[in-house]
Amino acid sequence: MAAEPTDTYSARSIDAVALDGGPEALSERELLVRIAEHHDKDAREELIKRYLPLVRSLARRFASRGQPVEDLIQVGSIGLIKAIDRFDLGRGVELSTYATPTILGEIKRYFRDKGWAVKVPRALQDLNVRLNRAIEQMTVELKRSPTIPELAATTGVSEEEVVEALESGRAYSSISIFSGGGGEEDESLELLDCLGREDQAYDTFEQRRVLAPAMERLDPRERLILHLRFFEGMTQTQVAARIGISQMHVSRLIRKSIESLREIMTQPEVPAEPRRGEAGKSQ
Amino acid sequence: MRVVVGWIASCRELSLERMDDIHLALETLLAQEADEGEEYTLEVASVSKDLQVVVDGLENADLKETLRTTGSFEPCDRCPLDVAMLLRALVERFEVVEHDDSVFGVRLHCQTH
Repeated sequence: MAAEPTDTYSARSIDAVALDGGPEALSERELLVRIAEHHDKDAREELIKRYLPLVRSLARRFASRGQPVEDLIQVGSIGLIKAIDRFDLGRGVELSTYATPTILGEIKRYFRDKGWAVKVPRALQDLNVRLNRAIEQMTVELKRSPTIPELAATTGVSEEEVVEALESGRAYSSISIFSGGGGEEDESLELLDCLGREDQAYDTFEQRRVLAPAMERLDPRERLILHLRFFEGMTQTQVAARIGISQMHVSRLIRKSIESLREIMTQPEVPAEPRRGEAGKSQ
Repeated sequence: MRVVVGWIASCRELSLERMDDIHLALETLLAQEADEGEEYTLEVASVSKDLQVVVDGLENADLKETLRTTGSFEPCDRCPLDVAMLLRALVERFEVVEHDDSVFGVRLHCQTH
């Protein structure tokens, strides 16, 4: 006779509990098992319901940034659903640990897609535009990025105003950064030509073993920029010259790429190499 | 944090790119600290012609291990990126500042020229 399953979270034992009390009677882990093993919609709904207070709490942190909180809760809920669907019980972490950054990431992405993430006074927006033009021009002239005093002198404003305007400019992300399209993409064929060579060089680094699966999910330009900056040791200005975009744009793309890498690396479905001490688990 | 570094960069006439590297180094460190409501301190000191930036109040033990390890990087849930590799490209050098308890800091050495 076959032995009875002793696993507390076996489908059989959970089904029995569910028959008695429905999904609301199940523990969080039991619900996650049901979702993982049976794609149980009721269990998924129950988990979403339980975690909505977390979504509301996180959404309220962005309440002063010019978007209705209800919209942010909706967006955060999408992050929550993604977290539940991607959660891997085998990782040994709590769902809340995994869900929080996923929800925050979804909310932040919403702000980025909205353009200006915070309410920025018109005068500061205008100054930011002027500064960006000045930075591009001065970087060419000086063959390096300018200093804040140099920018202040060129634009005729105080250094404090330059710092403030540059900071407010971070609230804005141009659509081209996130869509992968735009006027600075014309050299895409040339870029793709470069990528073959860069990938060969990248192969020589030990980090490839760890980062390769995540890097492959970045778009080609982001991959190239990260490679040039962090593996080839180029400065942002050198990367900008190599790719044909501004240093400021390189800066934004580096941040976006690192954030993307971090998100990818924390997603359970990344087809990564077996990690230390996990040999055989990924078979 | 960014405004503080921005003002120091202005006083020391750092290029925007240099300032951005310091910003990114600090953001990368703080991004590993997921806990809400924690307090961090930022200390900026001018040493000779360079800057020493210390961010303190970090608690992520995996991050500390990553920064102290000289061998190959192994990702984990609380430190999925090779932060040490990123820092090496962003600042001249860095070191972990140990305390008696689990809290630690990271000192970044940044050239200003």
